[in-house]
Amino acid sequence: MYLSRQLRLLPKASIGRSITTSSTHYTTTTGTPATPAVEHIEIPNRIERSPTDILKALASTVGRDHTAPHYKYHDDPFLIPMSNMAKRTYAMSKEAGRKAAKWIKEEHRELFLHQEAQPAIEKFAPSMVYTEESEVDESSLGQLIELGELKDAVLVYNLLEQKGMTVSPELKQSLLELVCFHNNQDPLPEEYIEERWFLQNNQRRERHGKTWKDGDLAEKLYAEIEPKTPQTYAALIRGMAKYLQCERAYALLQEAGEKQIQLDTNTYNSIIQIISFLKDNAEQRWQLCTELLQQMSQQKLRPNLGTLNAILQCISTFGNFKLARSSALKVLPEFKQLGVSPSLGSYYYLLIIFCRERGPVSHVIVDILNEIAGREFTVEHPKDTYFFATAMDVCRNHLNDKALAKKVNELLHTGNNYDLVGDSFKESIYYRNYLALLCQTESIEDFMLTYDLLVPNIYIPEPGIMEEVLRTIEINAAVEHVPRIWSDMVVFDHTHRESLLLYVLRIMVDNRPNAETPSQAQLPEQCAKVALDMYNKIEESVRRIKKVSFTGQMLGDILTLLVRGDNYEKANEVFSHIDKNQHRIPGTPAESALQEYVEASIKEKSPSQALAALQYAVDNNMESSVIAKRIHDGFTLNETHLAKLKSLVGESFLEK
Amino acid sequence: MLALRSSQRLGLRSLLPAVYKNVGLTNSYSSSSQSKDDDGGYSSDDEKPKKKAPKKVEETAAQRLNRLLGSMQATDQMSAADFPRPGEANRRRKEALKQDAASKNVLTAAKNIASMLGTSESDKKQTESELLAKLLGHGAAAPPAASGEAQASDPASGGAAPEKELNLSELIVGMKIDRRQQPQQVEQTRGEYVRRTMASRSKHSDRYQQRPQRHTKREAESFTGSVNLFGGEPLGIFKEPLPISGDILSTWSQLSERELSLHAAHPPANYFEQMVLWTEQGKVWRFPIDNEQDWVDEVNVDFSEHIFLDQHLEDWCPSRGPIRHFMELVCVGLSKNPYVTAQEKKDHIMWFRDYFETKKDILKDLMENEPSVKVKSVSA
Repeated sequence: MYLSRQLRLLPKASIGRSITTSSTHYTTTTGTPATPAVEHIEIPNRIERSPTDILKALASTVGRDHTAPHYKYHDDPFLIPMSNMAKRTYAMSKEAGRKAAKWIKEEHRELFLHQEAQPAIEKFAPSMVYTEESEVDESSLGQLIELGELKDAVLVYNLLEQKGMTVSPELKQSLLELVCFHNNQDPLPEEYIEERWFLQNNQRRERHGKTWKDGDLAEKLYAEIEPKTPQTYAALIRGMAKYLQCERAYALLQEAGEKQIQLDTNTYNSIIQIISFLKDNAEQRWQLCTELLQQMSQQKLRPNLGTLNAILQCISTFGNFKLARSSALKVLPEFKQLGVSPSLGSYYYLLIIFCRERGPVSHVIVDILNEIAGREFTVEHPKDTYFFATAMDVCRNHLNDKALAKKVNELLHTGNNYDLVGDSFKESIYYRNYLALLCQTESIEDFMLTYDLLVPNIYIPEPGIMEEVLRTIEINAAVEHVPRIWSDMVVFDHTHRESLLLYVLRIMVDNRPNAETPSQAQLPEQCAKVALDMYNKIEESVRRIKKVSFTGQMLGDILTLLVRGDNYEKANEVFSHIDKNQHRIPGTPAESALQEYVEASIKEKSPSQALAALQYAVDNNMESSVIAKRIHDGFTLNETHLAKLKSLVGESFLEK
Repeated sequence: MLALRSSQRLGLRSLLPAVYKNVGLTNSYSSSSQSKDDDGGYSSDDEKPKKKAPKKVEETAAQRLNRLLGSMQATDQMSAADFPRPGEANRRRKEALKQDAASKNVLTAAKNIASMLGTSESDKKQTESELLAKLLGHGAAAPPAASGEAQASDPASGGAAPEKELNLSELIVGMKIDRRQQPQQVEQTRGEYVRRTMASRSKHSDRYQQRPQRHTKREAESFTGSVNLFGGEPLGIFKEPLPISGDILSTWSQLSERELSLHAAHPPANYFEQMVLWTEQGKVWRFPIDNEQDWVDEVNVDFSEHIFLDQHLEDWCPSRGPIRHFMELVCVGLSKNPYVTAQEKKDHIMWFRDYFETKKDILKDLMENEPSVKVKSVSA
């Protein structure tokens, strides 16, 4: 007996010890004293660890590798997604695999009834199926409510009702809360983490209208519970407020007040949140808000973070900018007195209260950042995840301030704050604003450093941001970055955007690389490759749905670049394309393009090509005398060519 | 238009390559509206009616219709705004030359200054770009002064550009407004109207692609300074200290806590996080690993009860003989079996006791028939 106890205790103790000694991060007591003379050894108390603590500690040592794709994509190197669409598709298909497995497990439950593992893993067993015939009792209903299985809980409740079994009032209350919380709709199962990540704030869209199911199960349950307790009222009020049945929620609150029923803080919070739906203008809203707070104060209810955020949310809906500002500045000290410290959600509301598109410029974000810089946050309120995207938006669109943006970014990467970035949608808004701001304000070299860090594994620029990047490159005449950006654009699937293609071409044509500087020696060739690649891409795109069609200018630019890159053969091909399809292609190439092509023809000694270019110029009513002169001077023409030249530009030209 | 032709400062403006496009577009307007009498031949017959029309002061209905048709055909065929038009080439070339020269001058000047000032390569580049940015800023401020009409459209960019940090995208946006206004001053005819609507439609879509930029600059005087977030006058509603009270709805608060944690849940970013997730879902062993995890029935059972099973024989089994021998073997076997609980082992032994009890008579008979074997009879 004794021996076995000892044995059993031993591994645990040694594990406890090894954790405390090996990682200083976890020691709370000081280590052994330095003086060896003292014999007294103080053994630190064992620290209770949760099963995931050690895993979390290990996970915190793994940083984000900017050069590697996200963990969820790296199973198959061949299938690493490189565009936003592909990222989403791959993540969702991985999730779909999980769903399919689950479906098989439920559909063929007989195959999964044996339990190999000791102890058995309940997660791997098919879940209980409740049908009309199931033997149920109160305890199973309790269990289901505990697990949050709404659909099964409702089914079991109905079964109990049919069989005439009584359900205790406590259980009924719990069920009412469950039904009110989810509005009698099954929520997205917890394990579908990717789906939630890519859900793209559906909730925000939902918030605009009432979704509460009137006269549904929740209200039936409410009617059944007699006598009404504060809990009953609170559950129904919160449910209605959550799903925006605002008028009735407020009416219930007033009814409870008349009946002297003492509600709690969170119920008041839910009503304060929907004040904007109850009253129309800022003054009335603020009045109702203060009234509700007075009521709470009379009922000796202590406000909490939820109250603070609810008030700020209400204030953020004020059209009256001055009133919003002044009331927000009254609320904050009040809650400081109460010892409620704001969460990131509160700061989010402050940002939207102070930094309005039509209001004056506010630098409130500076003060907020002074307040919270270097702090680590955990999620305390649902709106906490809105802070970072909004803060970056303010930095870019409201203040256009690079230094602030860097501070926000630093805060995001402090501790576990990255958890609060929200979902994929908010994350991409955040980086979109960040990159756009940096490319407007930073030098191209510094910007490219950030670009390399973020793209493509953390963020893939949307076409709009790509255009901003190209604009920066154009302004800085940094044509050496174009080949790299082009390859990114190919990978990100931006090549069907005509405006982007034109932009790339324009940058390369307008900034003729200086062949003497060694860093740019490769550029003409690279640019020619880009141009050729683009030409092929556009030709291919004819078969695709999103097709890009050539314009004369585009082809002219491609022609110029090919000529500059000494790819005369391909240039001929492109020119013959222009020449053959001149009635189909809108616009004509720039004259300079034709001139450069003629120059190249002279160099390559092919007069017929040059004459074709001249013919084209004449046919399309372009300035042809320069080209003609150039041909006449550059070649020693034979009779046929000379005759053609004459027929094109006339005798008069030669006499000059 | 006037600004384009006259101003020398335009050269500065043209440093901004985006303006090239702008200039090109403005050109196309002008050529479509007033420059039909410029020299240069026509390549397509479609356009001939269009050419004649603006020359005639009085026009018949048939001619108007003709012209309208001509212009519509042109727009159908060539949706791009920079369709070549007579005489355009000539002018464009001249302008390009002018701009080229000017921009080259500015560029070389900036480069020279930069090389004088800077020491390292990056320094030089930076000075150069700063100088150019400054010049561009003046370029933006200048055209409104020259043309007058654009000033009304965007006073902010004209006034604020020199002292504020240069915002090029806004500059471009401002110029677009300039471009849009010009056609309105041109004499209105039906054909022009149609063509312009088509052109402006394509221009609008162009604007959308360029992403509608919000105004990033405001007037300097509206700067509000720092905000004292927590130092203000409190509301004064909650005066006395209040007791901390929990949520009265236990299920609700449990659910909302779960939902809150999901708000901060991300897809796992490495294997450890994956393990955390699996641990929380109950799919893997929990740390610290302990092979007695989740032993519900056997937690308080000592190992001795699994191994020393002879104690269960003492009160019924004969002390020697074949039955004893058999039962001892059963005990050895059971003591080595890790798959059954101690209680099951005990039950197993008890089953044998009951079995032998029921077969007592047969056993007695057997033993009497075989007297050579001296065994004590089973005594229950």
